[in-house]
Amino acid sequence: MVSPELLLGGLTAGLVVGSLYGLAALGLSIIWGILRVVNLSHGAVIALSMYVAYLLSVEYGYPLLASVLISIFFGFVLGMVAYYLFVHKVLGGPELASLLSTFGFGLIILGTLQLKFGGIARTLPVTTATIEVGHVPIRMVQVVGAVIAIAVAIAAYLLIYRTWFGRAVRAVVMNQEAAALMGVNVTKVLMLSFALGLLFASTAGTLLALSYSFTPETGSMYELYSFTIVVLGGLGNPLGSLIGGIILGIAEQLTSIVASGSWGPLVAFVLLLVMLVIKPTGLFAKL
Amino acid sequence: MASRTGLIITSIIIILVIIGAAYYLAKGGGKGTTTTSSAPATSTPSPTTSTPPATTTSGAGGAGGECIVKIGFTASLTGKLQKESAEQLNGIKLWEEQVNSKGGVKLPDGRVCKIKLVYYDDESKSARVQELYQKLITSDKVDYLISPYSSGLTAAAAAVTDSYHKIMIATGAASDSIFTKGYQYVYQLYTPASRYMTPTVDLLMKLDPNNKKVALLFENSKFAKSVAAATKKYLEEKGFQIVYEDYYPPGTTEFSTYIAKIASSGATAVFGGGHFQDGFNLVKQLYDAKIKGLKYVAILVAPPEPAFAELGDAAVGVIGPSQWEPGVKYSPDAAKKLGIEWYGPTVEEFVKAYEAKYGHTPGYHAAGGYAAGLLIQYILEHAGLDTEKAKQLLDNLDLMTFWGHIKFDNTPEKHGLQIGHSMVLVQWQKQGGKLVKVIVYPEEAAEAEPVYPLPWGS
Repeated sequence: MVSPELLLGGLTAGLVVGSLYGLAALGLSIIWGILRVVNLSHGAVIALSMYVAYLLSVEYGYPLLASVLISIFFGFVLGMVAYYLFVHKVLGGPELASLLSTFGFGLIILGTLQLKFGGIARTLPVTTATIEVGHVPIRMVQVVGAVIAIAVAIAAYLLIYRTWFGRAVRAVVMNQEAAALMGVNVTKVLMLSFALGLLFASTAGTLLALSYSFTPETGSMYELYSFTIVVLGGLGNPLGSLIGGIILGIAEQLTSIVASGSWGPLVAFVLLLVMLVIKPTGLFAKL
Repeated sequence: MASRTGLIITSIIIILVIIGAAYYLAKGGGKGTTTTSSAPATSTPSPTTSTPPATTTSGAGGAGGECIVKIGFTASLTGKLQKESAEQLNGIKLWEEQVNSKGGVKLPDGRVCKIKLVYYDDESKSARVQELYQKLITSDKVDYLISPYSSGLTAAAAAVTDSYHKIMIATGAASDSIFTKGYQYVYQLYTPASRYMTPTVDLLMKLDPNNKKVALLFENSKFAKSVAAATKKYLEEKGFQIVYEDYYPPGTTEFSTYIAKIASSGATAVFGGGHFQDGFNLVKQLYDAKIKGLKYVAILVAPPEPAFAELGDAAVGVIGPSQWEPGVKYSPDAAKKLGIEWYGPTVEEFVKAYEAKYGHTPGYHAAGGYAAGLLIQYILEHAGLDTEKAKQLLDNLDLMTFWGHIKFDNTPEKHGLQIGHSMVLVQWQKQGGKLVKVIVYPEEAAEAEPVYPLPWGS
């Protein structure tokens, strides 16, 4: 039937694709875990970073590497500004308030992208060598993306569990008032956490843009994936998101090898359902 | 209190900045969409009408006097179909402008009528479409209708228009299923999905009768699956061996595992695709994978789009079906040879007029819009405003225009389905180091010889 070589290829492709899904989900997960805000602008920020890279490298003609770096860190700066504009005032209010304000923020981004670029698919001028693992062609640019994604997820884990900033973050998550009394600048911690969440989203978006074409709608697909992964991996835990993403990626790629690709979404949702039944908190506990 | 005032002022400033930025971008980026109907979705939107002052309404003018014919439709000025719909609208507007600048259309009773377009923004939503077509028929009392853009919206519109026995010319809609519902007053201009990819099979047989091992990899969406089913049936009839068949979920970007299975199946030709994005990514990854022995790739939807050129070398050699291209060779002479009546401008005249008005070359969406107007002009000249006469005319129509051959199925089972028009096949080729899109099939429309086998297969 299916040769072990093909299976190995499918696993590798799943790992490579899934680690990028995981990185995207990490952005959503961390903002929920720390701020208790479901960031509905997540997909829009992913799409925005793709277009920032496109604008700089294709339309303005900057070197690709510089464009990519700028579009990655653009997410962080945007996050700092967006925190004060759209998140700060609604924190601690009813959950609907933060849903609406982040949704509105996302709509502004998407509307602007639609006006400026329209619905036509764009792509970055990246040509790349491929390596074959078990007959499955895997492009080098994806391998690089996967390595970065895994490194970022581990760095995020270390940041939260091994540094002073991480201790402050965890303190804020446990009890904001107590943290403030101990001298933690709560607003600053929340602002930086939101910015970090957007940084992860823009990193994922930029790396995805190197491999695939995109439209303003593309981000919403990864937003949907991110919600699935966050439930799989456990809210707020960086490694949980990464592993959740990899599980989803492998499930998707193996489905198209073992059965038919059209079963992919079904397999993903069955996985999600099983997880909700047997371990509703996800694979990893939250922060 | 002070902080609240501050907050209010800040909010006002932010809102003003956003409105300003949006306005600036809309002026710079939103070309072609004359946003006269930017009125939001209120219950009674004011129709966007154009040029001639409404001196008299249709039928009111006596013989020889000025009269006005109202053509109604909806366009997706907003929403996900905005881009394609805007092009289609451009085509319709160009037709209206040309007719009116010549004084109007002469009806069989001798009156010369100007055209007045009545249209609304359907927001790319079928619920809006049904509401608005009802309004066009009952309160605006339009004479003839053109469909919205896309099969989905056209299906929604047809359900309303046919129940009022109003003729609607369907353009931008390739679905077969609209025409199996027993409608008697809907007529399709596009080649239907069932015949979308069959010419790509014909071309392969012509190029290489020995290339018989094919892989099918289409999107798991309504349109692509119906094309795939028809293509598969045709391939089997022609004695091809289908060595791989799969359907990927909509939105798929990563094709490496599919490609691995295509490679191990030993296929030498690939038929597939669905929408632009996935077709684009699929070709890019096929190119990167350099499958041994792969000689022929035919992809749905993506190749005719100018943006396909962004693939660079990967685009070379890929075949794609298109409803219409500016280089097609339909002409009065060709019509004469086939013994069919020719009507309207030549391809060159249409392309030139369109470029002069909009500053870019028309694609098939724009041509389809213009063709719908042109067909209505033909109806007006031959049947006037009598719906039943017009229906008889269309049922027996056999016409050649710049759009190509137009002939409708007049059996009760598939009434209104397009059976005359056929797809042309385009291929991206390198000419003098530059990527160009040329028509390679059918021979009577071809601009260049097809490149075969794929230059990037190995």
